Amino acid sequence: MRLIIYITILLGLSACSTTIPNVSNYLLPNIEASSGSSRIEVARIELSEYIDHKDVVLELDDGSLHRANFHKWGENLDDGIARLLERSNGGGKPIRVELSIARFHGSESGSVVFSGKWREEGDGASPWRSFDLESDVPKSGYANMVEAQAALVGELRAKIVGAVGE
Amino acid sequence: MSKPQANIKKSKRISAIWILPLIVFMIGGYVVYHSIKNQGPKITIEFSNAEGLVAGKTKIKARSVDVGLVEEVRLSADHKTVILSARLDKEVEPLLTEDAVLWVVKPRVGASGITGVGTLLSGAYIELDPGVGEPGRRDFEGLEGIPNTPAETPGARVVLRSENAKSLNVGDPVTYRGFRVGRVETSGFTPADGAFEYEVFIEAPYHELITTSSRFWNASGITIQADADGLSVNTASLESMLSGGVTFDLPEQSQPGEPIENGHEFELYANAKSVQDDPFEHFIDYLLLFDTSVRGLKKGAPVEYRGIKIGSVTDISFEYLPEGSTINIDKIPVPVRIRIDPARLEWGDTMEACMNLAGEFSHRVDVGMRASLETGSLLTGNLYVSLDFYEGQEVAEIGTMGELMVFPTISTGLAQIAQKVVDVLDTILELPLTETFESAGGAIDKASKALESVNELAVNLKELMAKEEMQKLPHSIQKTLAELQTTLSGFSEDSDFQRNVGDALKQMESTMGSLEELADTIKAKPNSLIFPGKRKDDPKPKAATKNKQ
Repeated sequence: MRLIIYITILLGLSACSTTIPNVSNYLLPNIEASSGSSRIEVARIELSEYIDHKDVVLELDDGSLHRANFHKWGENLDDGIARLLERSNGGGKPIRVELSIARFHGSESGSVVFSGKWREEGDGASPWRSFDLESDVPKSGYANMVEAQAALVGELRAKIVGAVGE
Repeated sequence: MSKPQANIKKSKRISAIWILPLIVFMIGGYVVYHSIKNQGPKITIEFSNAEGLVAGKTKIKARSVDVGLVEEVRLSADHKTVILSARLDKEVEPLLTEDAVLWVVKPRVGASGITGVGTLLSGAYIELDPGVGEPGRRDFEGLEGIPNTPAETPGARVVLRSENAKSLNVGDPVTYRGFRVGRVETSGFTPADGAFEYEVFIEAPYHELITTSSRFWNASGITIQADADGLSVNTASLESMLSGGVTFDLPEQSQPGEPIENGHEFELYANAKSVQDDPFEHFIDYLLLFDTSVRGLKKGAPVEYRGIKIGSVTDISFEYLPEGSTINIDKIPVPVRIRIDPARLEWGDTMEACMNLAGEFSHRVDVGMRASLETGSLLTGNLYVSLDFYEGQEVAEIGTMGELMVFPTISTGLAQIAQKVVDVLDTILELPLTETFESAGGAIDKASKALESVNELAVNLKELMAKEEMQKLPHSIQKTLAELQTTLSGFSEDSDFQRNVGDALKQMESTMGSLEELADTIKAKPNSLIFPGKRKDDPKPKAATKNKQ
């Protein structure tokens, strides 16, 4: 009888235990530094509320947004984007820009989007210019998605340098 | 044999079965009666908006103790305000007095510091300050901010009046020699006399520092002034420069004065210098009429007697002249209103002293006392008024113009020299040419001497400008401004201070977001703290399919 009680208690306790999966943290991987003489200096980045945190955001097939429980950004997202935009070999006078980012996430179906607006900062602030970039993710998984997102930041950097001029 | 007949009787008794519902009805009635009897008062509060206020959640507190709950939040009939209905505990009914005030406690950042930080987590609540009036009030108008100090708080309330532009805000600190002793409670503007009026509360025991001789002045900002005394720069402490405020003290030379009563009115001076310029309560008003230009004479310029300040210029305007007297434009005198403080001549700061000194001046005018314009600073070209005795003056007396006494004036100094030069030129022009020719030799000699004097003056001036102190002056000013700029840059938009505050706020926002998420989880599943449950694995992003664009 006593044995049965012990077994029951053990089974009861084992029901309370849970397995916690590991949390993966990501940094936007470095992209190739720009080769031209122009370099970008980020004055300010404003993130949409839905990405202004450390959870990686995934758009599900039904159109809803999912904040990942076990996949996190390892740095503030605005810091990461600024880091990639400012990555340059050029030593000329910097282009000071401010950005407002509307969308920056991947989707369950294998694509990444990056859209928003930017403008040059200065005494006479230039008008806002919008950008809307999208690309496919060649392989599955969060790491590949983050890599594709970093590539889009690189595209934006080229766009800004091209617009302001070498 | 007859058939048996049932004897049916109508019962008059009520069935015992009704006793139970009756008892239940009585108990129910008692419960309802008891509930109504012990129900606390219901009040309505009107606010301009209901930010942070939630029906069924927002509490009403008195001295931080829960005394009621907001039951309903609705728009007013005209949709311009919101009306809150709240039920209070029965015990606090006596607190709902005629002068009770209610206000929303939430995080606020102002000149008086950061308040209501505790409500970041607990949510906003309504604070009730009972007051001391008769109880019975049910409808209240809520205050937008923290109310004035309760009436029973020990201390003193004084009123400050100023005709200068608005310089104080509600909540600004009142300091005494840099120590905070009170706050500005109300600020208003009276269009009738064009003056700003501020009500100020001084906490006990510091209110005993205020007497009838105390003077209040604006402690904020930097004043750079060029006047008859030269260039002066006045600054308050860095805290006052940033947050504003008012300070008070006894001016130099003044007596301690009498204790004040609540509501005593004081003039609010623009800065410490203007207090030192006109610190006295009693003075004599005189009008001076000058035939020469008063360019360089400003309001506040000193009135001196043999180099010692005895008063100041209070106004320069043609409005003091009688109507129609400005028609002959070549004969318009320039009226200058001055005040003379008997206390500066050690006659005392009283009405009696004013009467006595005015009488004394009347006698002295008979023996040649006159007012004149003198140059105070060659650097700025500013003038001041001087009272002194002059021999050989025509008989004059103190007259009146309107309600003011007119003090006789005389042209001296540069103005008198200019007049004399004109007289000399006139005289020369009137001389016959022949006589002029004869005395030409002597005149040339005199002219030569005059040129030598001018030369000597130029050399002296050059020596003065070459002095090390004069050379250092611009550098010192530049250095002071650079230091000031460095200090202020610490608070600029790009400064570390601003960045740290921004980071801290962002961190706090993130924490609040997490707490909100936690609260939602607990609300949905109260036992989730103990039995968190297994979180679902995240969906995995797939690779893009080849046929996808």
